[in-house]
Amino acid sequence: MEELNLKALLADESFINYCKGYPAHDVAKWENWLQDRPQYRKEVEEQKRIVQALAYHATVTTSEDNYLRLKERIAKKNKKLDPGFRISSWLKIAASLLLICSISYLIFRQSFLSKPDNNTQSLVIPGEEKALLTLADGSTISLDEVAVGTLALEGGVLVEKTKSGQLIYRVSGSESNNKSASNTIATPKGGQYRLTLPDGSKAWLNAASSLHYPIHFENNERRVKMTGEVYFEIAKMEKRQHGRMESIPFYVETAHQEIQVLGTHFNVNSYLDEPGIVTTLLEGSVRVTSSLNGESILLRPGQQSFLDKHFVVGDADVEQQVSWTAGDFVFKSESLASILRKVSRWYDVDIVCPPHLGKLKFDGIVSRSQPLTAIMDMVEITGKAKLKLTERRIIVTD
Amino acid sequence: MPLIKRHDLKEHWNKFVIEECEEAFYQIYEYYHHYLSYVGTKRGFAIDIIQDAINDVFLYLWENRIKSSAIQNQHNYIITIFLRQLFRGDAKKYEMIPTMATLLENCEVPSVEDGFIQRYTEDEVGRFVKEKVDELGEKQRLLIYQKFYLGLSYHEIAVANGISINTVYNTIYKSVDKLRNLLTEEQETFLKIAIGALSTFFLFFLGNQ
Repeated sequence: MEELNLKALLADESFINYCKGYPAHDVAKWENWLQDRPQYRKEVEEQKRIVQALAYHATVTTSEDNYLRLKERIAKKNKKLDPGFRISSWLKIAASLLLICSISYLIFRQSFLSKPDNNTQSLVIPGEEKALLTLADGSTISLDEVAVGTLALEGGVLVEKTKSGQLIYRVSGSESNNKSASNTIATPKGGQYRLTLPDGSKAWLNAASSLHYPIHFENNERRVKMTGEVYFEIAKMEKRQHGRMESIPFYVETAHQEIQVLGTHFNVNSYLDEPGIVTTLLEGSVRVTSSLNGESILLRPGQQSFLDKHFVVGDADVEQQVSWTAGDFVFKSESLASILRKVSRWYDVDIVCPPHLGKLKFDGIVSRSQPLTAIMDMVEITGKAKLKLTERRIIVTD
Repeated sequence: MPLIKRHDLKEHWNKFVIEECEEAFYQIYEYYHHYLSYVGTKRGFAIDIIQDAINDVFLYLWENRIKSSAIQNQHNYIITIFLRQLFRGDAKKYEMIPTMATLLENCEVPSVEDGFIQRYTEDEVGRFVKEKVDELGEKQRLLIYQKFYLGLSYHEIAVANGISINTVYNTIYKSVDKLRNLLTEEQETFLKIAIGALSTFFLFFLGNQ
């Protein structure tokens, strides 16, 4: 029996309408569908009941959550109106006068005495497409400043920046002798960049990451070195060997790990300030080898490996791992320490967080294009921790 | 707790303004929370702004509950305050609306009374989901609410939450999938216990023979 694609069912509006039992033509459509495929009825029924129950309970809790916020506001207002806190009229007048004087003084000071203050929260903007390219001859190009078009011609390979702000390597006709030449692309904190390698493979660098690669891949293997976090989509490449076609493997080296790939999509997170190297596989298969002890494992799609001293393999939350490539931060009971490490890299800020607060877990989804305050608010609204930003440094307190 | 229907609103409204009954206040709140979330999202506002505006409206209603007793049409009254709050600080958008009357006519009502709520009955799956729904984060529940209950499109939900369509879609699927897996696990455990109990019974029975 072919397996039922439950994900596709949920994407279909008419299926959700069928679960709702309204309108009638959608209900009829799915009833007919099930009549032809009675083998799916049990599974579809269960999915329908989960959707119904989830719709109901998520609805009830969502309005309750917001109502609790309203109750807090009502309680706060009542406190303010408490007669004990009321002040007499003359005191009010005196206070107003004092306030006017203070504001005037502040405005005066602001406009005449102080330099512009760059440390306000609103000025901490998210990262953007930024990277530094180092060519084979050692010269560097700042990719966010340079214009769209051909940047260099090295050993028969054209290096181009596209309109959409990506870097592409294209093999031009002329062969060259300089086959061992390599390039390096590096993103700063608060930068990310996408590129297409000479073999058509795609790499997407997250903030504070780098990728070192030859401009000509060899005939029997393709090999790159990386630091930080990179998402790869490796193109399949074949050669004729002993009369038959064989795949040319692709290797990704990090500090303590090597990944061997044939053609696949995967994400590698190897930041040195993270507890270990996380490799997440979306498609295909990869072999991951520890260069510390030679241990080696094979990953299947949807799995991830964690390497500290030894490998731990488990099911991956793929969406969460690669949410950064879709432009979002997705946190699912993620520790504050881990969240703040990501924040530090993307917004280029320093973090001061006591260990007991770093262990607190949070859920949330925030777009990476939001200013820093969006994530700070998400944490603060829970009331579990206070975050203060001064001079590009976030200080976390109870 | 059943969700109220529109024709019961008047009764709750009277209970709230005359008896100052909080339960009635919450019933009205819940009804309009759904209605206004729908209207606000359809107009492209961010969901946190919408939720704040809803609370602005109900904070106002709570504080002015005695004065509100003179109001004949509480529905138009609530919507008018809500829209005023929502468009506050965005005079340009507000001016684009010709009159409040046409706006009210053009607001399609979400089918609060159709579908899920009437169909929903508490069975084994229902009780299970109720227990586990808190394991999903608030944001996950919000996306499910917007999709399954309010029936907004994936695009509208993405805009309202400032995230990508893909993330909305995946988050909803992941939540349903998580619950389905938990449910299967529980059913299997139950089956194992049942089989275990049955074998014990047989052993006992045979032992006695």
